[in-house]
Amino acid sequence: MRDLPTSFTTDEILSGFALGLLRDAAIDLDGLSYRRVHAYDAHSDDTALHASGDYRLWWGSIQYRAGMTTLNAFGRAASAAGTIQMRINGSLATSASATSTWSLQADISTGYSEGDILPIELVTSGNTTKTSNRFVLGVYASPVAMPTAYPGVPTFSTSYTPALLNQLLSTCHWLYDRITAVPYVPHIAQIMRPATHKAQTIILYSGGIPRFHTQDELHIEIWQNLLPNPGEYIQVLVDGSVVYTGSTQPPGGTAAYDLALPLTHTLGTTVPVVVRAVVTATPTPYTLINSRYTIRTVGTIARTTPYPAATPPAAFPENGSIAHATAVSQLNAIATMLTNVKSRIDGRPELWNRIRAFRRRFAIDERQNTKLAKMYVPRRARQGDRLVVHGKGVGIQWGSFKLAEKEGEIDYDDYTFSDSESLTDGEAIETKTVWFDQFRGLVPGAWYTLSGDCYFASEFLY
Amino acid sequence: MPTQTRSYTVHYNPSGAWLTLPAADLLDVGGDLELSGDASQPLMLGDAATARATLTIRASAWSSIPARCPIRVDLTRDSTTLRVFTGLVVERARALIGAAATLTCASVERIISTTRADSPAFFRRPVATRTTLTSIDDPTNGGYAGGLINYLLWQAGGRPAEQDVSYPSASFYYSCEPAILAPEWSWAAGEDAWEELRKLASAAGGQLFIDAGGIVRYRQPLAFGGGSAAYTFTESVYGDISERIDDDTVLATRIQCPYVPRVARPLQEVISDDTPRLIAGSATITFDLAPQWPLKSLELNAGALADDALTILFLDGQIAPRGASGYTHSVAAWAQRISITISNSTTRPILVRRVLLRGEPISAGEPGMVEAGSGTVTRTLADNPYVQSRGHAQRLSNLHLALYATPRARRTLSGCAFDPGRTLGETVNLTCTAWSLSAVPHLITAIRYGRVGADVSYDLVDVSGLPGTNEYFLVGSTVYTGLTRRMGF
Repeated sequence: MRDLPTSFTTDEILSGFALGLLRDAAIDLDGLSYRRVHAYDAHSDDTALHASGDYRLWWGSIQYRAGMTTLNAFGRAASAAGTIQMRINGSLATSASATSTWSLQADISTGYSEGDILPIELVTSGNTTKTSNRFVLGVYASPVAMPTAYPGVPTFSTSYTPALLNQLLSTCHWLYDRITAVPYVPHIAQIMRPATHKAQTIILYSGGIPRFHTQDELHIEIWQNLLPNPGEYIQVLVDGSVVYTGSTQPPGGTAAYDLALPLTHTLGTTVPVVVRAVVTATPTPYTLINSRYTIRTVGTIARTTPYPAATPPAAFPENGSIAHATAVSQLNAIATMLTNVKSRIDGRPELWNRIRAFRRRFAIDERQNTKLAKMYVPRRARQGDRLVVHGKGVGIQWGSFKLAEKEGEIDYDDYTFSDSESLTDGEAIETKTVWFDQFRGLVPGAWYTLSGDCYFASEFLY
Repeated sequence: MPTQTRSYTVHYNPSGAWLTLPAADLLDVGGDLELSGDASQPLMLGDAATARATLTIRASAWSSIPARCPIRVDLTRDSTTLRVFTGLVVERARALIGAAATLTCASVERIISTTRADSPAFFRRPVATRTTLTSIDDPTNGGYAGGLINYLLWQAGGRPAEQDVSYPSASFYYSCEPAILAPEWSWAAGEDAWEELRKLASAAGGQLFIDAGGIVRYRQPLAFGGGSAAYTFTESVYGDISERIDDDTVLATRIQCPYVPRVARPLQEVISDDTPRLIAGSATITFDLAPQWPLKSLELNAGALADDALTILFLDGQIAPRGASGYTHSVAAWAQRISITISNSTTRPILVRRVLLRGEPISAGEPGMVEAGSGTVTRTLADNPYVQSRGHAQRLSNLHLALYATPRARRTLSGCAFDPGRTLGETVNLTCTAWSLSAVPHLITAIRYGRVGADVSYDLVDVSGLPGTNEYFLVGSTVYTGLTRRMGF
């Protein structure tokens, strides 16, 4: 990725190989301008069930970048009682009434330096019920500021001047930087989380699912790892409507779901997505064994109709002949591809002009944060080259997964990965940048999780 | 037939000023200019020319010319004077009985060879950049963007031939064409600079010449063919012609090129040196450290080492601070050498206990190999530290395949009168009616000269069919509307 030629200088022989790198970059950028994303993780249980009084709705972090001016949060609520507060670094930044559709925006244009990790909390204030059903659909900072202006694309006609060629080269660099500026943020996976042993409907996951491309579908990967209940199935709801109902699994069975469900909400908007387990019958004799689920992914995918790929011009010959008119046509075709990439980026600010916040694990207090350290973990399929983490005792794990054993029995609350590395100190909160290539086997596409107390993580292309 | 007059003049520089050896003291001049490629591959990429001259002088002049004395030899032919050799004395010989002494001289590659230069790490910079009247070849200039070949030649005391008016006292001059290939990372770390130049030329596919005027030239490989011949060797110029085509050598149909990727890694500890170094009161020490890997950058704070880089204590264990009550320091950093100077600002001795430096190292990855061509006759290129990516290795393989796909005749012309206008690497035409050669383009790969005006021989390589620079699209303002050209590697 990002293998671009050096700058072009007068009198050098025009290299077919160098022009080939520009062509490859255009193909690469075209593909990178479509992005699958994970849902904004809201909760791992029923947002309508909580203690009376105030509680933490959401917590996480962003990394401040020069040019950011606002920190935003938005969501839904069942009632207008009380407010939702946004705290940055522990201090109240802004608040809003908990209306059916609420939003918060805090000014972060001053007071922060490049690279600062900003801890964020969304908490209720004035909550008096157990069923207020406040729902966080998304938290992000904006805008994404570039240090230099877009160079634009040249038009080739009679000559191959350094100015034209270097403009094409600069545009490739700029677009790579533009796309890199929006990181890939790990989501919170749920590993062997308990569901229920009762005949009830229990929410396993709630979040906000965006739709950025017409081809986007809702991608859910969920494993039913342990089903003691004779009548249990899963359901998926999008914006309150059931879009999928799984089949009832036999007791003791396991099942794996890899779903691609249609999304129809307006492009650029985010709607609630809920995954729930429905138990219609419990075993006889009754046991207190909960069913167990692993939710690997809730996000978008273009499976039925893949993201379109621009048709690139023909390859340039290396030490071969080519007519000038053909070469010019091919170079201008590259320029057109880059223009389309820029248009695609500009046309979807909800994706490209926002830096998604990293959500810390589902936990309302430190006791839960510690107890649930292995159950709710940041997870991603590697897509970039560089990972920034901030936290205490953060490690990275990848490879094959194995449940632990305890006294001859499977311990569903403990597991190991075949490969792991420590990233930060166990005692102090540290920020660390690591390059994936140093981890053998953690190739692009390979899944990894982050252990320890991770306050922030984001993955960058370069 | 008009009579031609020819004479040699030898200039020598024993102590900073050029002097002329009296004509009566010069008895004979001999030497050669030759590319050292083997017979089967007379256009060996990465080849480098070396020149030698042998001077026979009167024994009485022995003491005038000391060891390693710079030497210039001019040839005057019919009142036109041209420089035919620039170098230095590398061996002196004389006998008690006899009136003559012999000086063996090597060309400027000896000066370059003994240069031990360090450089920063250059990223994706062509190994040689074009020298012009206005090119910035001084590495101390903020706008410097020269290739590593340019850098090493400058550090050895050379200056661009195109700018000789600005540098009349340069040790030698050089002239470079732009290289067509660039390694990911290139740097100099105090090695034999001439050997490094050969590796760089080999990695980019080019050749180094020292021409008759003593100018070091880098020629890019696509200039082998297509050059304009300003001279034609005909039967009236040479006494005899011999030809050698090594038909038993089957030229490779498949080229393999190894490479070792080099990647810059994130900022990390690169040196941790615990050598204790005592600095007496008011004294200064300078020492060098070499990181394991070349560095893309060294962590500095406003030109100084990071605050925690130096652990320096007084002998009673107290930390010596930076400044007037402790020490001052300066640092000079290159890719693979860091030179630190520490001055004790106090009258009490201090001890350097630890040097801890951080930087971005350029580390090597897993080696790989690429191939070009097909068939069973395979030639594997030599390992070259400057071939650091799959793309570079592929382009180099393609280049070798293009140059070596056709057997090329090596022809020797003997019995020629010495012509200082002929230079190594020059494109000339050759006519030999008996062999049906009519103005066929050749490259001069060797010049061997002897006594004044007699017995000079030339080695030529047939370059017909090789594409020349003018067959390619060039970056610039040339209008190519309606034309077809080649694209380079």
